[in-house]
Amino acid sequence: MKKTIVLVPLDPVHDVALKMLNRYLSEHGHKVILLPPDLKPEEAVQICMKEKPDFIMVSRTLGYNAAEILGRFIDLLEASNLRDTCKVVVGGKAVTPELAAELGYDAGFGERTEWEQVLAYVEGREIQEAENLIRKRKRDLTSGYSYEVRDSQIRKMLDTIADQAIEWASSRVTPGILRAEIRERLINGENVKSEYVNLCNGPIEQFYRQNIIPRHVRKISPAEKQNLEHLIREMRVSGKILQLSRTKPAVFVQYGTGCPFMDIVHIKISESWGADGVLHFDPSWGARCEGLLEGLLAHEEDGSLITLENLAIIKSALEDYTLWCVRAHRGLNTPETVLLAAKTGADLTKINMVYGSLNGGTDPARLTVDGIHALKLAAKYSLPFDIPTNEELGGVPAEKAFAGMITVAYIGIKLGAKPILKPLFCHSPDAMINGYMEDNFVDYNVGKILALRKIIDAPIWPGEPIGFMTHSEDRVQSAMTTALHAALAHSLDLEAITIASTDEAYARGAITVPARIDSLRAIGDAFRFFGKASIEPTNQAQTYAEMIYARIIETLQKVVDRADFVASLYEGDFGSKEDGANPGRAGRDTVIE
Amino acid sequence: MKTLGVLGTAKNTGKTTTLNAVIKCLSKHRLAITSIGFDGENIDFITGLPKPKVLVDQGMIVATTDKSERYSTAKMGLLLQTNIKTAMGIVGIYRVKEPGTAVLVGPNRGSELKTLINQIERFEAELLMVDGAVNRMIPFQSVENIIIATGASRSTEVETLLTETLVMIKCFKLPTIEADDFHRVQNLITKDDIDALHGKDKILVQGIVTSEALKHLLSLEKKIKLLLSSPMHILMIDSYPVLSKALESKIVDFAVLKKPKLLCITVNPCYPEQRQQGYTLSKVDLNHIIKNIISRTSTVVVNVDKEESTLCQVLEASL
Repeated sequence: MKKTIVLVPLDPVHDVALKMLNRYLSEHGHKVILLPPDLKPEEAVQICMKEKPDFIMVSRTLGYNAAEILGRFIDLLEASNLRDTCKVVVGGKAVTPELAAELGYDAGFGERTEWEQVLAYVEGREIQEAENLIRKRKRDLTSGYSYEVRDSQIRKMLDTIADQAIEWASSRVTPGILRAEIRERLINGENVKSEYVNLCNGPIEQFYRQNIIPRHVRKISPAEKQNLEHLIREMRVSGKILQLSRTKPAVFVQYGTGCPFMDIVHIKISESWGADGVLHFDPSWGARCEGLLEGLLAHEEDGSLITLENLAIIKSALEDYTLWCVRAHRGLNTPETVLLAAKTGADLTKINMVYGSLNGGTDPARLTVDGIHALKLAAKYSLPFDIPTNEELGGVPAEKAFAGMITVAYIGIKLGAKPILKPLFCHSPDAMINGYMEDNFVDYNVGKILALRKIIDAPIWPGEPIGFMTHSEDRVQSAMTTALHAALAHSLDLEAITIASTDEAYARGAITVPARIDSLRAIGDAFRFFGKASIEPTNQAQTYAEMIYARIIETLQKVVDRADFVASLYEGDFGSKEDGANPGRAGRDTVIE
Repeated sequence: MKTLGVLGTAKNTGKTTTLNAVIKCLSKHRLAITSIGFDGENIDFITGLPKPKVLVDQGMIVATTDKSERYSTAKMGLLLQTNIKTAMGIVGIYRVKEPGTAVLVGPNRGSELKTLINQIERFEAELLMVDGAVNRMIPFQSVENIIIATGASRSTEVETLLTETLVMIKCFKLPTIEADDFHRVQNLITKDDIDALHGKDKILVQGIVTSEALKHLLSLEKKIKLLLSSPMHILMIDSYPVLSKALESKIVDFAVLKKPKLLCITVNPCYPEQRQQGYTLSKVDLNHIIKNIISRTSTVVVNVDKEESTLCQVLEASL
């Protein structure tokens, strides 16, 4: 039914929203009277008395005295007998339902209101309906990719390396693999705990045998758990969408405050500001111990402990559209972590034997055996895995890190798993030394993507996080560089990105929630700014792509010539000591033939 | 059941502080409470400064919305769900089971407040206290007693504040008369509205009178009786100096149809002062105003923070 609406700008200048509303409501067949912005409230009341509207909509920016002006206006309407016959609504950037209630208005529409919500209100439809109009959906980051290696020369090399590595690993086993098998039996209810404990060491073994809780770890009490569960039930997230005209890239944030409670709050806030996915970061010491703890545990250090219970409660807090990656890439518990990720409902995991053994601290032979088993588990449980190349931050040139990444991807493909490539969008030491980014940050990053796309048809997800080494202590500056790198990924139509909070590099402790929101807001605006438009690199990008491509082939050739994947890791073919890569020692001599 | 409203002249004039003082004074009585706005927020919606919380005792009746009840620390049991809708949900009548803070969102117009008063009657409270919202006045046409909360937040100029307060007191002292032979109009807003009266000398204005209309009336220099719905309706005028002049003149003779009894005035010397970044709480010395009003009228004026006992005496004597 056609409604009459009087729009009242109780504001000397800010009537833009009402002008837009005027057009929108008129287009939907309602009679709208837009008053000029310089009317006295009494004059507006007089017009309302003449027009007898169904709705009076007032717009006002909130400064001091605004409340008194709005309060007086509603009193004037009530004194003029209009309050019982028409609904009165207040709108403005800082308007909330609480403010509307305080001022005595029937509803308040703030900054995040969609025109459709106002229309629904006018037409008497449920507002919830409008909120649900845009529903976020979980995306499959691997769909539409053939995983075909486009270059036959590279395909041949990868076949040789992958076959050798898989063959070598097939006759070997590790405590990590055995624990993953026992863990599966434990989950199935078998009483094999002592077998598990026999394969643990250090603080993990002490935890099980002597009930000694590791340093900085605390058990979460049943009462605390109950409160958390209550909190999870009460929290509602509306699921903002950052990408407007394109669907990519999915935006991931990393969490790992140490405390599952804090993680959940960070996740919920990130979801409400538009994050599409979250990545679980575990403590680095956990990667160097044989075995995983159990129970709901907090940890007063960076990284949240991987236990079945911690993962399960985090999963219970996630919105159904949020992608969840539990990383397993680098430590002595890689296969078991993939298993727990699968069992608790993760969408993705993270495995990279090259990075994990060169910069993650794990022995190359051990991680090769564990990694290949973990890839089999990822295939078995249909968990796509991403392959980070963060060795570039230690100084390894991109092409060597990429050769490692492509090798792991290819091994994964051979085992039936779905890899996601994770080149860095960063100002890396190698790029600095060689001056690749002297003029701009676009060409070299674009060169990386062009080189990878020339090699293989696979999803690409720059991480971890984008804009690494471009942040400063200034949060505005950090939000800016993150947003620019995000815009580049957006422009290149990449599958996903991982972003940092604006205080991540300088937090001096746990990162803060406002700093998380900074990045998400900045990215939303960057996506809005570019829409379907693109960033245009210079010709130099193509030159870099060819350089990277050629050097990847060189690296792979060395590995082929060595004919021993593990030996190549030890000897620096994928990154040498001079490059800043050091073979790890955790788990050395634990591989059983 | 008696009813008492706390009417503020602006934000931060001390309505909630006054209300909490009233609750303390009358703690031996069976009390009910509601608000015509939103009460009990942690920080001010605009200034970001901390706000006092409404504290409720066991057994008290609280009228607030379902959404707000959840944010109260006091434990409450629902007695009756009303049909009164607000931007923060539907108003219900609750009884406090365990004391604590209460977030109050109640009816925001006079007609609904009247409905609520009738509904609360059955729960045998002796007094319903109605907290105000910002500078809202008209809903208080449905209560019998009023405390006005004013202070530096309304104006930091002491003389202006004094003049305004005296005008308000005068309006609450106007005689109440019947409207039998009065010519009825809704509002007097423009000169044309005055001309349209065609020289009639007994006018009932059901709504509001503007300063433009009033100035025109004064310029005509013809005696006229103006009967308004309530003192609050007169005070909706856009200029207190013009109203003050009219109240003192021999030309316009004001009266009201109905008025709540003004029990006292509370003043708050603190106000949010805008600084380069955000607001800070500043203070103005209002002792001059307090003394001046007391000497010129018979109205009690108290600084609630310091003179709670005076407030208690006024309440005991008048309720």
